[in-house]
Amino acid sequence: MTHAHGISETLAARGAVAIDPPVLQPAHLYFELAGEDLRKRAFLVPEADGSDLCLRPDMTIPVCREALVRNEWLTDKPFALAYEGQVFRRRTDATSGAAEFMQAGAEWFFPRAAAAELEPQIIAAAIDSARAEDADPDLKLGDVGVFRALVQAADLPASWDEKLIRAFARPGGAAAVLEEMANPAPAKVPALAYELVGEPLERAEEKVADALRAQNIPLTGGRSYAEIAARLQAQAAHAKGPKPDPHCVNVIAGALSIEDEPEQALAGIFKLALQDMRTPGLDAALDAATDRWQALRRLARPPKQTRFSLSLGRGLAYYDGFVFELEAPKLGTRAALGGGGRYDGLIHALARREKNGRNVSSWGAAGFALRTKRIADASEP
Amino acid sequence: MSALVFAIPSKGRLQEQTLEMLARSGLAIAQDGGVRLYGARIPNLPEAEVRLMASAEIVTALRDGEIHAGVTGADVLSEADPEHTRIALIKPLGFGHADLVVCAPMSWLDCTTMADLAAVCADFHLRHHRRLRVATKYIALAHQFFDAHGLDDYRLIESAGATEGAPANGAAEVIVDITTTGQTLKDNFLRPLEDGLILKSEANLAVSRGADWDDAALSCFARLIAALEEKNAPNPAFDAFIKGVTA
Repeated sequence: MTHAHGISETLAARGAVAIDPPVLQPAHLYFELAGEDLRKRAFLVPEADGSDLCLRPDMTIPVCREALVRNEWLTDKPFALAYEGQVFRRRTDATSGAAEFMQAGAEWFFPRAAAAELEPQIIAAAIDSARAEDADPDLKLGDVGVFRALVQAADLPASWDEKLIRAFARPGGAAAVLEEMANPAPAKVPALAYELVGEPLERAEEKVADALRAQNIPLTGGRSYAEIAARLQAQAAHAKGPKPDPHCVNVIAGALSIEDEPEQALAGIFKLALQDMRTPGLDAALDAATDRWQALRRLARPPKQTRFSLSLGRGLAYYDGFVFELEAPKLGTRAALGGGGRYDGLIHALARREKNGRNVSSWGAAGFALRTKRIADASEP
Repeated sequence: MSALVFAIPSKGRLQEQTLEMLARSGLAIAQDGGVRLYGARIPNLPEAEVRLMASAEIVTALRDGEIHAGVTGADVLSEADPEHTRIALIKPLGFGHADLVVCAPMSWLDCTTMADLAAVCADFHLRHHRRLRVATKYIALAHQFFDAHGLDDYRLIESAGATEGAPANGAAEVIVDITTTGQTLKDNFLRPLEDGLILKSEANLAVSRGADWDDAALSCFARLIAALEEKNAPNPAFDAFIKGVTA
């Protein structure tokens, strides 16, 4: 097996400590953190106690688990862990590529205040890593944070915002929800929901409990009367409330369809939002994206082509900030060399779950993974 | 050596109904080994070897090409091979009906459709800091169905038995399971979601694409199909299968 020395040296020079996390990982943790979609791609290995392990389908979660047991959290300084190793993914169809391949990359963990300075350095580290292997990839940028700020700025009626944000990571998901917003289906809401409108939650909770007792239905399934009551209230509000403003729906759809050089794309989104969706949160998110791009240009020679698209989500629900991908178009269907982004929510959820978990709520996390074989194939002759 | 290996259920109602169907079609099984037969023959189809196997074994043997054909439920056949790349369903047999459905607790007054379930999943994750769990024996079919409904914020829990008890005993919140009359669900205070029907299952005659389909096997199976079809009606699924193996 050939090692990607250029990548490991680039990452070591940036202070990343090389680690070698276990290949076998608890499957339930993956499904819990990365979603059931991973199931069709993960190789499962049964344990003697009936639980399942999986051959790691990515490196991010294994590296995060290693990170959580280290002592660097006790300082207030960022730290980075680098890796190179095999990942395993079941092929879902003939075009899915190899079932096992090498990834090299690094993950950074940092107090949130350090994010603005670190994020462009992380993207630059990925570009320089590829260049150290003689590849010169194109760059695609995105920002889930900008998308979320835009949705919040749209001030959509009850629960549409959550639905849209939830759908974002699924291919075509956001477009489907926007379509539904433009032509909402008549909602079917239980009669009881309308009786709960305007009631304080405690009263609504009692009414739900009474309704169930009257029919001799016990409460099963791990949700409280209050949870059920709160959602019934939300359902009624959703059904009776105003439809999403078509103008806002158009702005979000328009922003998602922009793909351009970063300055133009971000200016285009700003211009769309200017009409009447401007909020401090959106301004801050757009400024952060602009600053990140400008800092990146100072840190690394700009790639031949860089595009920004708000719809870049990498198909992974755990990204919640900037995202990026490196591409070598000449490799055709194998053009995706790797990428990464920011995933604060994932490291927080993982810290809650691991027994030795630490309180990392004031920390952020971001990183990237590169497919070394493709990088080698993309290298300039 | 027999030309065709054909498996039928080794016990229960499904076996009785399979034997009745074969008898009606003039393919009665020779009862020369007592009630519990594990290898048998059909006097009117002597080239076939009939094996009596547990349903789960029939599925595995069909998937792995160890037998040519078999009778069992479409639910377990589709679970083992959701895209039907290794097992082809040739003929629904009109018995062994059961519905594979997504069921939520009756107490969830706010959850009657898959769209509701998607919203409940998100709400549950936020409040409980973990994903909502769905207990089932039908992992592949459940995943495929949830995926088609745009659900991804949940976790599948493989259940070994008595899936319907999972929400009450805290092993899961929601289930995907087989129901015939709905009574077991009611007894466990569960209700199918209105658009939660994953599969209308019944017993099927199925074939293994990976088995050794030589001329003798094909002609024997053709005679089996001809006997089962009313008045020798053509069977398009069988014709398509033949085209596939002889291509």
